[in-house]
Formats: sequence, C-alpha cells, structure tokens
Amino acid sequence: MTSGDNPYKHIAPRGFWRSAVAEPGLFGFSDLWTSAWDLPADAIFATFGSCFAQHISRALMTRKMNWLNAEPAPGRTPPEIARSFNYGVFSARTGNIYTAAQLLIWARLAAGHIGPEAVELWTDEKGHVHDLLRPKIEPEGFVSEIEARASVLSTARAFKRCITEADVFVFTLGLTEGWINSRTGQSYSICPGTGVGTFDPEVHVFKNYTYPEILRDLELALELMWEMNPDLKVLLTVSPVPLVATASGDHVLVATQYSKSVLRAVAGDVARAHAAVDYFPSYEIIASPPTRGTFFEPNMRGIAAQGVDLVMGHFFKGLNLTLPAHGRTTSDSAAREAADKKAAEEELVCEEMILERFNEA
Amino acid sequence: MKPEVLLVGDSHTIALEDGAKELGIATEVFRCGGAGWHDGKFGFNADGIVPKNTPMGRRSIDGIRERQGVTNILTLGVPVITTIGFHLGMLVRGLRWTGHHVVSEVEPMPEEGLVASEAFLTAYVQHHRTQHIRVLKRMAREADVLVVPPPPIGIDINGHKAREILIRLMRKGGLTVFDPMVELFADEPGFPSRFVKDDPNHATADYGKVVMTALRERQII
Repeated sequence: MTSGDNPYKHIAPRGFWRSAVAEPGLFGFSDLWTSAWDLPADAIFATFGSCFAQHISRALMTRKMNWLNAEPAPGRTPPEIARSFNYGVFSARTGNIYTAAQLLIWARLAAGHIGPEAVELWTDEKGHVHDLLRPKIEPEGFVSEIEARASVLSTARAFKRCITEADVFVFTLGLTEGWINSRTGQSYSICPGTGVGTFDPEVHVFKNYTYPEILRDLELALELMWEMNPDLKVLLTVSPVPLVATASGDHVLVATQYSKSVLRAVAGDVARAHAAVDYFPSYEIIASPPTRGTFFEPNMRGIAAQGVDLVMGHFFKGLNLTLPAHGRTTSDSAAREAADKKAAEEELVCEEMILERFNEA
Repeated sequence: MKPEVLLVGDSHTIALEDGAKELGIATEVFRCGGAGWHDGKFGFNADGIVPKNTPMGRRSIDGIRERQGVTNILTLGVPVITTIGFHLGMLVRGLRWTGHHVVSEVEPMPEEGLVASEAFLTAYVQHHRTQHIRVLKRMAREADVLVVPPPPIGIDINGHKAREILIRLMRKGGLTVFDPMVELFADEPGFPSRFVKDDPNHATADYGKVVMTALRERQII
C-alpha cells in the first residue's frame, strides 16, 4: 500500500452508500447478493420457515426450478383442497416454522432422535385432534391421536428427504418470540388458546429467545442436518414481516425491531461461521430505510407482490447455477407409473368383463 | 318382458345380474365401464340418466329403450339397483401416485410413504364424486334407487376408507345404501373369499344371489 493509499480505495462501488444505494435508487440496486456457492444447473431447493418463505417456494415453482415437494398433495387433488390442507406451501407439511427451536424439533424428528409422541396433541370439543407443532395443518384436525402422530411421522420423513435430497435448504427465520410448555419443554408454533389449544398460565410460558439461544438451536439443527447430508447447503433469510403482536410487554414496533435484529445477527454470524451457510438479504430489500416502507401494504405489515418480486429478482440474479446438471429429479415418476399400470390392468379386467356380456355366441 | 329390477352401474353389476338370473328375477342392465363412470361420462336430462361419449354405454341404454319402449329408463316403474360412484381403484389412484395412504388399524404408524388424513380423503372423495351423488339424487326422484356398494375386494387401504366415506356421503345426501358388508357379512372378518372371482376384483354370481335374495326377503325388490 503506497502513501495516501487506504483500504477504502480498493472497495468496489457496491461498498459505498452513495454509489450502491443513494444514486441507483430502490430499483437500481445491483450486486446485492451473490450466491456463495456454484450450484448445478438443476440444483434442488427445499424451503421452510416463517410465512415469508412461502414466497420463495412459489417463486421457485413459477420459474419451474427444482423445488423439492417431498410431501405433495395426492394426485388429482384440486388446488383449493390442497391449499386448505397446506400441501405445496413448504417442501414438507411442517406449516410455518417460526423459530430456531422449532427447526431443531423437526431436525430431531427427522434424525429419529425423538419420535412423534414428543409432539403435544390437543383435542377440541368436537373430538378432533390437533398437533401443536402444526396447529393449523389440517383445517378441522385429525380424527384420532394415532392419525395425528402418524401424520407427524410422515412429515418428519418428508422433512428428512428435504435434507438428504436437496442441494440448498432455504430457511427463513421469523420470530424470536414463542411459547413453551414449562413442564415438557415443548415449543409451540402459536400460543395455546389462540385458535388451537387451551391456555394454561401454569404451564404455558412466554419465551423471547435470546441471541445465544437462537444461535445454539440453529447450530444444533444444522449439525443434525449435516449428519444426514454433509453436502447440504443452507441459505438463511430473515422474514421482513413485522410481528402481529408481542407478549414481551414492549411496544410491538420496538419488539419487532428487536426480534428482527437478533435474527439478522444470528443469521449473519452463522453464515460467517460455516462455508455451507449463506445469508440472503430479503429482510434488507423490504425493510431497510432506503425502501421507505414502499413494499408494505397499508397495514404496514403485509408485503406487496411488487416487493416479493423484487426480492426474488435479486435472488435469482444472484444464484450461480453454472455447474453441470446432476440430473436428479424431484418428482417420483416411478410411483405414478406403477399406480397407473395397476389401474390400467384393473380397468382392462372390468372392460373385458362387460364386453363379454355383449358376446351372444 | 318387463323387468323386476333395473341394474345401473359398472362391471360390479354383473354379479348382481347373474345372481338375479339364478333366482329367476328379470333384469334390465344399463352398464358401462368403471372408467367412464369415474370420468363422469354421464349426465342427467329429460331422458333420465344418459351416457356421454361412451359407445358401450350408448349401446347398453339404446338396447333397453328399444326393448322396453321407453326413452327414460328410470320410468320403467321398477326399483333401480346401482353401483354408480364406486370404481374405487380409479378414485384413489391419485393417492398411489404419491405414495399416500390413510392410517388403518392394521398399520397405525406406517413406516414409509406419506399419510393422508381421513379428513383429507373425505374432501377428496367428495370433490371427485359430487357429480355422481347429484345424479343419483336426481335418479332417486324418478325411481326407487338403492345403492349397493361393490364388495371391497382388490382394493387397498385407501380404497377401503374411500368406500366407507362414500357410503357416508351418499347417506348424508339422502340416498338409500344397502351395504352387503354390514347387512350380510358383518360377522365375517372381511369379504368372504368364497365369493371372490378369479380375476380377482369382482364377486361371483353366488354373491349376487345372496344379495338379491336378501333384497327380496326385505321386500326391497
């Protein structure tokens, strides 16, 4: 370095606010994110996390990329039924995974470290059973505890497939706030009593996960996932969607900012610590000051479609799909072929029987 | 010759027709393939139930019209026994595509595949059988219609559950259902193998005879 030289003289324009943010404006940001990895042209993505992660699922599907749907709706399911039973929202029917603690539960279920009996169930007044890890996964609940647990196990298997078969596991961190069972340690997806479950102040305890707790849970989950697939790459994002409500006692705006700041910090640090983890700045694209809240709906919470499009535009632009395709597919055509073959054989028998009736010889 | 019973449905009406014949019960049969019924290749209009785009169905119904001198076969003034709506192999084929199965007492915690809930299967069956139930209800306004679900043979656990759900939906829709599994074989562990044909998805003429005898004894026909 010569006299008068300094490190900032060697930083690209993207490193300076004026040239990277102020002058290009919101729709002119470039080089906002570049994938940390070279991926195969047909890279397989699995998507999970809070509700914002659904946009990533949809965008991958719209672009006809290899989005892994490890727990699809049965064939010939009309879209409205698939939607009401939460098929096709995430890569398995986990419902929203809001916290790192819940991700850890799914990783433990997938690894077989815990079984479906570890998930708390609740029976409503109609006798329908709900699992409190995915309280709204079935519109009316399950018919029995056995069915509820079998469904959890089935989803855990699908979740495991997402770990073992995906190239990139996209996870959107959503909340620091949650509720736990003080006796069992069960982490709830939503506060019991808010639609599903019965709130018991003696048992149900508010938990605002701290940076160290989230970091620990996320690291533990990732460790388990890498035990199942050492090659798995993890792309972390933070949902820009503000909290609906806070139980922290703070103003919801303050609580939101705290939550998102902690999640953003954890995601950044985990990405820095592991070559197999990257961070994608969906949060910044929607919620940072230069956007002036442009992409928030009038309630200042919902994200407008244009915002999602902008986020996904940066996502696809930054992806590096330059490696040769590995040729793996996300659809299980063999099962469909076998089912069609069996059905065709059955149909043939039926048709032959009927046609024989016309044989008057 | 005027029939005593009109059979309407798929290949499962053959056992009932053969059983009726052995009992000397005169029948007319409007029959087409289960695939046609499943795919909704039928409708209901001023001529009653009519096939659509199925030569086999057209031939079958035209034969009855010619022999009986009617346009609407439901106006024959005889009870109608039908298997419409079942065709369970086709109904649940979509679940096989994706490896889904419902939970059963035999296998409460499947070790592989995906689990479909009973609530899901109910919504699924309801969607795929709305037309069938609607037409059956319209038929029931013009004749005494009795649904006789085919015996649960040659079908998987999804088919068994779909059969149960469909019967429930039909009854909820006001249709009269005579389920031989409940009415005749409740004490058996399953459908008696002595009544299964070699094919092996259909029941024998002996089964048809047992069913038709029961219906006659109960003065349903």
